[in-house]
Amino acid sequence: MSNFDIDFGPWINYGNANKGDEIGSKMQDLITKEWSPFNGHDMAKVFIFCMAYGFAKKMTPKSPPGSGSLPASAFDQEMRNYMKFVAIASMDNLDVITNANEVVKICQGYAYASFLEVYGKLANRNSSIKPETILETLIQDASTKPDENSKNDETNSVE
Amino acid sequence: MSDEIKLISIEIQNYRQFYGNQKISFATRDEGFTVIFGKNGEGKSNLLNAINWCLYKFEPHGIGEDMTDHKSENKSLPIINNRCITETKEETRADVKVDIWIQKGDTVYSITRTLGILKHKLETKTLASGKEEILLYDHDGDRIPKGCEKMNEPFTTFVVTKKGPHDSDFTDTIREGPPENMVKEILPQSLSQYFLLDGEFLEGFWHTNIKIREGIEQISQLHLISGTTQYIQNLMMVPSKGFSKDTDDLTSKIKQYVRFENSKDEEGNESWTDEERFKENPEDDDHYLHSTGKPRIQDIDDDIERINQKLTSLSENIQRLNSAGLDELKMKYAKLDVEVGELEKEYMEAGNTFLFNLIKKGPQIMLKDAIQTSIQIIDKAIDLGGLPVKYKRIFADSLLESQQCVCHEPLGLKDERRKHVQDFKDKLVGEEDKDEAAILGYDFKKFFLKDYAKFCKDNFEDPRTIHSKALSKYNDTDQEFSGIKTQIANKGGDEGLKLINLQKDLLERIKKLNEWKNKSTTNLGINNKERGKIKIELEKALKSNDKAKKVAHELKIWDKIAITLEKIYGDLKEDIRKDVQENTWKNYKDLLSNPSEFVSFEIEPDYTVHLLDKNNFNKVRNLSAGQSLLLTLAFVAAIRGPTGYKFPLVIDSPAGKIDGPNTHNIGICLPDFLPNAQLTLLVTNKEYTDNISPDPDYPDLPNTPVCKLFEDKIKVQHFKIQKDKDLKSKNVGNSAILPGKLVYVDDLENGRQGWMVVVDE
Repeated sequence: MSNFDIDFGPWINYGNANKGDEIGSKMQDLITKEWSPFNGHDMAKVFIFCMAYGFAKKMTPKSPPGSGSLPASAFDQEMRNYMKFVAIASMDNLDVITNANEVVKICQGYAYASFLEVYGKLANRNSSIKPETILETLIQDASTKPDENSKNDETNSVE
Repeated sequence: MSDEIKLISIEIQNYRQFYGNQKISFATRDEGFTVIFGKNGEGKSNLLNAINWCLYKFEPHGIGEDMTDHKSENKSLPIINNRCITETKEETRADVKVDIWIQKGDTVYSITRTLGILKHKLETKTLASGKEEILLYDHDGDRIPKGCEKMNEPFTTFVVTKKGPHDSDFTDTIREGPPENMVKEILPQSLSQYFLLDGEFLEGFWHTNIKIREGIEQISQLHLISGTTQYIQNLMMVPSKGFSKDTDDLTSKIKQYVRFENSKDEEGNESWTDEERFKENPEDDDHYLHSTGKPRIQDIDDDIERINQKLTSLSENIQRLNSAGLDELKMKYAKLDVEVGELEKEYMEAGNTFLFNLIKKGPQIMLKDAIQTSIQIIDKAIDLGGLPVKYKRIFADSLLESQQCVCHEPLGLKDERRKHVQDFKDKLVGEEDKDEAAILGYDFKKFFLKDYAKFCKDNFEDPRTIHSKALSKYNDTDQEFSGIKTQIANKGGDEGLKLINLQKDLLERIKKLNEWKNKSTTNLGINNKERGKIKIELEKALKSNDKAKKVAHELKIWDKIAITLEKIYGDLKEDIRKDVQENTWKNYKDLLSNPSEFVSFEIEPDYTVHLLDKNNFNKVRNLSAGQSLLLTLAFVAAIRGPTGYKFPLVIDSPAGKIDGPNTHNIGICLPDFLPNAQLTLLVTNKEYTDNISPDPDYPDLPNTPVCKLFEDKIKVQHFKIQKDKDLKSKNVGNSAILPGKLVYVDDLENGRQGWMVVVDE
């Protein structure tokens, strides 16, 4: 895989405007509460998951309030690749790839747009549904449907 | 701290079964051993409790181990002596008082704890027989009769006074700090268990690694170095404030990560959860788990160890259940017990892998459309000649270099057309990222889209199958295990059922703790990784700020100091561990009647202990009571070496559960054991004055009692705890401590022959 990188700014914004606000405390819940599949993981993974979910569900990007609080260093190469694809596909133009700030801005928009929906589905699920099952459901729900021509060759869900 | 400490005397007034004033003056080591002789139930353990109560307001001894069947006599008796409270008139005061004199270096300390109790009308309950039982209640940890009131200062006090070699009298130490701190300096409570030893502690010592770790790290004062390292790490955070908003933000974040690692809140206080710690005894005080970081993981580890220790004894009890047809079940039980544990670990690991893949690779599935669309855009750009940018730049360079266009028009330095080519080339600056995007697109096409089914199989289907198979196997085995347990419970009656239920609860608890530990460890890992990254950012930011350059340099030096200290800490820990290991083994071989049974003793870096027998099996958890006790004495002696704490040893029932040959060994070896330590022993006739019972494996073993074996090597100062059994006396049931002497009684007519400790009239 390519190692190409873009120079993100120091912080990525997931939408926690103030200390103790709703988004911030929900993000905290997701990475620390026992019920959450993201328990024990970092916020960057939640951000990327929400971004992918928001884009796949064709949500309208929303600009997050506040300033960045996730260090860019928390985003590994794989996550950055996903961010580049989202930016290119979203703008339908390759030029965006040369503007790191714009890439980040687009991704923040999708992540913020879907955050509360993802949180709600994870937090309000029936307690008998296991963490891995709810994640699979979300991924299937957001995944593209199989293309008619490649239907026989490809499996378009995580199953 | 390195001054030798001597116990001079203890004076007890109206404490538990000791009515009135009782005093013991302890012999120094030069004067020999102090042996306090008493039968079971006469108050030996409460003497140890009196020392603990005076120093720490804590009574650890004589409390039953069994969680479900708490039999402690202490908990059902008041702290104030029965006769004293009965004799005290209503609306007057009675005192419980313990005064210990300790010499440290040239200074003598008098540590006195007094509990003043005001007696009102005692509350009673009428029993079916018509007799009145006096009711009791807990007041601030002290159990007193209902109808009594605990008085405040100046009647309830804790005072430490001292007298130096040139002082004429004792002076209060309150100006030097609270009395608790003075006592802490003499012997911290956490370490008292290694000096004020009781039989239960000695016997159960090797069931857990916690005591080994505490013994080595705390007694060796290694915690002072780890504390210093921590202090320096905290100090490092401070000076970078005030240079710019960026560096202040980064510093704040680092502090947040440090607080997380050490489970501290924003004010720097310890941060706790409301999750209760495991209690071996339901009546013990509640303690809670730390919130985050290393302290939380340590708490969980300690709890897991304690529960495992409890589970081991439960398993032994289950296997000891006696009933026809149980043997086969118990064998199955033991086999499945291990199997279920392994399968549980397996399915949890498989589940974690599956979940991790869903989190990490799941977005790629959701972004399949985005990836396809991006690749189409990239391919289109390539088709239209927009990519690769690198080739466009090479093309422009070659034109400029050759000074000629492809259409053969000149591109000389003064030609207008050359400017157009130069502009074209300049516009390519920054566009190289598109080439990288093209390579990225190619990679995803090749490794993801083309083999999408394989991607799904490798990342989701296979891990899910492995997880579900492991889970199903675990469930089947667990069900089978539950069946066996039910059968054992049925055959074992109420006791079996109680043990199985308790075991089930504890297993659930361990499962939960393991989950918490995994999560806390992952969280700590993430926390530390992030802290490292931000620290690098902070260093960069400080370096780029002129005013902060000096601070950046200082930070680097602090960093080096912290690293050096950490290394010293690691090296010292290693040295002390090896030293303790070597000395324990040496002492043990001296104490053991048959040292050839074992071939080596090792303490691993994680403080697990391995005592290998001749067949290389680790026997440390399967030692007999006597072997375990001797190994503990050997360990306690070994950790006194590197320690600064030279507190005397007080040992309750040192040979209580030891068999003939090892009792003989205790008698022979103890006088030479720790030659400089002051030693006080609380003993029964069985372990001290009775003839040592014969052993068929050691036909030549003399039956000389321990008291006589001691006599050959060391002087002994005796005390006798005397319980009043005269039913006509008001003092019945109360104990007095009186000077004693060892005599040989030869009264065959009355069946009394042998050595005895009697009151020295």
